[in-house]
Amino acid sequence: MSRSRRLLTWIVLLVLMVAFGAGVNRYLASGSTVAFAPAEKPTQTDVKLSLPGTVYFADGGGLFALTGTHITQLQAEGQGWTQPVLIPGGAGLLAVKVTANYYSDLYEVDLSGKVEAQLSHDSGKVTATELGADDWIYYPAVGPGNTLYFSYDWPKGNVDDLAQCCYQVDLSIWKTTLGTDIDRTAVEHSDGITQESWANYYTGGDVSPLPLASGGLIYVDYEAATDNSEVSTPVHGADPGDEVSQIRMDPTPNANGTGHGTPLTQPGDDCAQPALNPDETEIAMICTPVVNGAPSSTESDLVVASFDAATGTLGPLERIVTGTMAASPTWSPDGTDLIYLAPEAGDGYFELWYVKDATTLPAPQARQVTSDLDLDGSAPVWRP
Amino acid sequence: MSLGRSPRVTRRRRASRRFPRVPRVRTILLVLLGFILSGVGGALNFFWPTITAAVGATGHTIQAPTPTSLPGTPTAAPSVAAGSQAPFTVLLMGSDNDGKFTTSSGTPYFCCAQSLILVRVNPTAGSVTMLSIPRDLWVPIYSANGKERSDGKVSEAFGDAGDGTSGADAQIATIEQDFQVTIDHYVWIGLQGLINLIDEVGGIDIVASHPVMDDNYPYDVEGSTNPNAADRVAVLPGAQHMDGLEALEYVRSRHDDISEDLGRTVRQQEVLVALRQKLSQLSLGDTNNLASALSGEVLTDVPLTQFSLLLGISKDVGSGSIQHVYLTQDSPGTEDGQDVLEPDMSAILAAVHQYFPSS
Repeated sequence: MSRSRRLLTWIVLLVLMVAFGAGVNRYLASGSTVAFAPAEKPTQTDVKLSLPGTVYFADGGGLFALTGTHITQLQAEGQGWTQPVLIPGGAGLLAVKVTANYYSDLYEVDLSGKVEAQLSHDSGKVTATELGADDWIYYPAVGPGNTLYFSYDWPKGNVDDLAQCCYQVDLSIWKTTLGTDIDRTAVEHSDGITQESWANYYTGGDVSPLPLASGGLIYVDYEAATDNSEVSTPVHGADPGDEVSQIRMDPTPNANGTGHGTPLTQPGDDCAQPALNPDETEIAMICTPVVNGAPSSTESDLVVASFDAATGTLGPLERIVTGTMAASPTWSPDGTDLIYLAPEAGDGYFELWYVKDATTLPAPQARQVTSDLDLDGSAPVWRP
Repeated sequence: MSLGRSPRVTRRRRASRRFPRVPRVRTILLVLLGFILSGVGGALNFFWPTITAAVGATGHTIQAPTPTSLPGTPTAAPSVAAGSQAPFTVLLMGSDNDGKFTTSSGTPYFCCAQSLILVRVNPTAGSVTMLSIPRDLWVPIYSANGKERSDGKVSEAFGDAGDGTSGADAQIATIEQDFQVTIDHYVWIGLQGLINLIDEVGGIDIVASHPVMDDNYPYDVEGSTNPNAADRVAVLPGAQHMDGLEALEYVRSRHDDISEDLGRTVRQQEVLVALRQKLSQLSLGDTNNLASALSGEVLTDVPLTQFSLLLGISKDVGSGSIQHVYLTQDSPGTEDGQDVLEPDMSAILAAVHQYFPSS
């Protein structure tokens, strides 16, 4: 081999060596875990399954509508929108708008996302040392006669003592007529607004009101899992600092001034997030499974049970989706199918899932509807 | 077949005589070495941010002396290195670290540890035990040199007592002396580090067991410089995908919890388990981003060389093999005008030594 050819060979080898080093570098860089990739915008994602009707949901602080496989943005992301619910008759939506770390307010929006009315006025009262003056409003639900139920963090303790303010901030369920202005003063003085449930102190309070056609109310309360000074016996296997939820029914809310009603589920079932089908014969809910002898902190089951609204009795709890972190079930308009939220494998973001004929046992396999989104924990709304 | 030399071979030999060659084997080895060095260089270049960050954060030596044994208590097996198959104990500490508090002379100090969790790892059994120590437990506080200072909240050992022995060593000494355990390793993470870490892995998924409401939550991260600023927190119950700030609020809030500090320690362990689940999906390509997220927010005595072994153990431990232990052998009290937890130390030691060998 001539000197020049040998030199050329070495130059080529050196170039290859450098390329190899660069390749190793790029290979390592390309190994970044896809699981940690940010979620996509709902309007840019592929929908895997077409559902009948329209599903309204919150994602990243925005409001969206899913029709078929097409997602429309109703309210821009980053504005704190959450917990959309349908106004009976389907004319529009109610939704909560959260200003993180300060307050939330309730709005009425039409089906295209246009804000029609601000129903509560908790905004703008706060100063840095008067946080107790602000309020949270969550979990709107509209019942017969345009009765509006919601959870509100009043009464709360020590609000007048800034040195101690505000250690007890529990949500209780309140009722008014849709369209009534809601603010602290009206709530505090029961000015057209009445308290329907009385929270167990220091538990976070009562949430998820579900009005019944009869005027009764289903809701969820919380209690210490291992403390029998509350309203139940300790939950076997619970950690000493755990709290558990119980779904309750009060046929005549506000009648006895205690607001506890009667339990539909047991504390050991730790059930919450109830969804009532349109004819009030089935309740879907989320219950915590017992794993290795203790309530799981990383799993929640989708459960369905028959319900008799007249007697306030619940049938056996049927766990139709297990081994995941199910959340926020919603019945189809005809009351046969369910949609719910659960994490996608890998990235853990919450996606929409679908179970056809959810009351048929064994329930068919759940199918994933959306992917690469990051849906918030609030229940979607399903309109025909 | 011809056995004669071909003209081509003859030409090569002539050429070789004119330009002396490196022997063939040496040439091959040289080329191979070149490729190996180039590959190592490429890898080093990629991992350089991780290496520089890790060198500063790892390998710190525990200065605390071995705890004095209580009379009558059994002696534990000697401390072992992480990475071996023998069980070992790690103290996880979480605290703020931005020096927002100052002494009367204006010197920054760190008030206390926000979270104290003893972790016992048994690599052979593939099991982990996590024991939360309530931060308000009223116990003797020790300096890093093992000297008893005064009584105080156990978490205050992390803070500065004016004798220059603040920080992890004093916290380790206090826990070793008060609970009569041997701590083999420690990991400290700042509040902002926890936020960064959780954000970097894309958030964590947990089931919030109840509404966590707080109108007086300390607003002291994300650039806040007022140690007394407050914020409002509302973490709603149910399945939650939390970013770093939301997760921190979830584990720190305690005012509206019927179980008070105990409820918070339960939530802290929930978040640790969820974080471990996310971290188990890590690949090599994520290390630089993680190192960047944790820069200046993590300190540990675990040597860099043993981290891969610890991560391997972490991946091998299933969620069902993690045992959660909480100390409840205490009662509310008041000391020096502060709300504290008065411990029943004999009951606490009996509980601790069920899972952690006494020193």
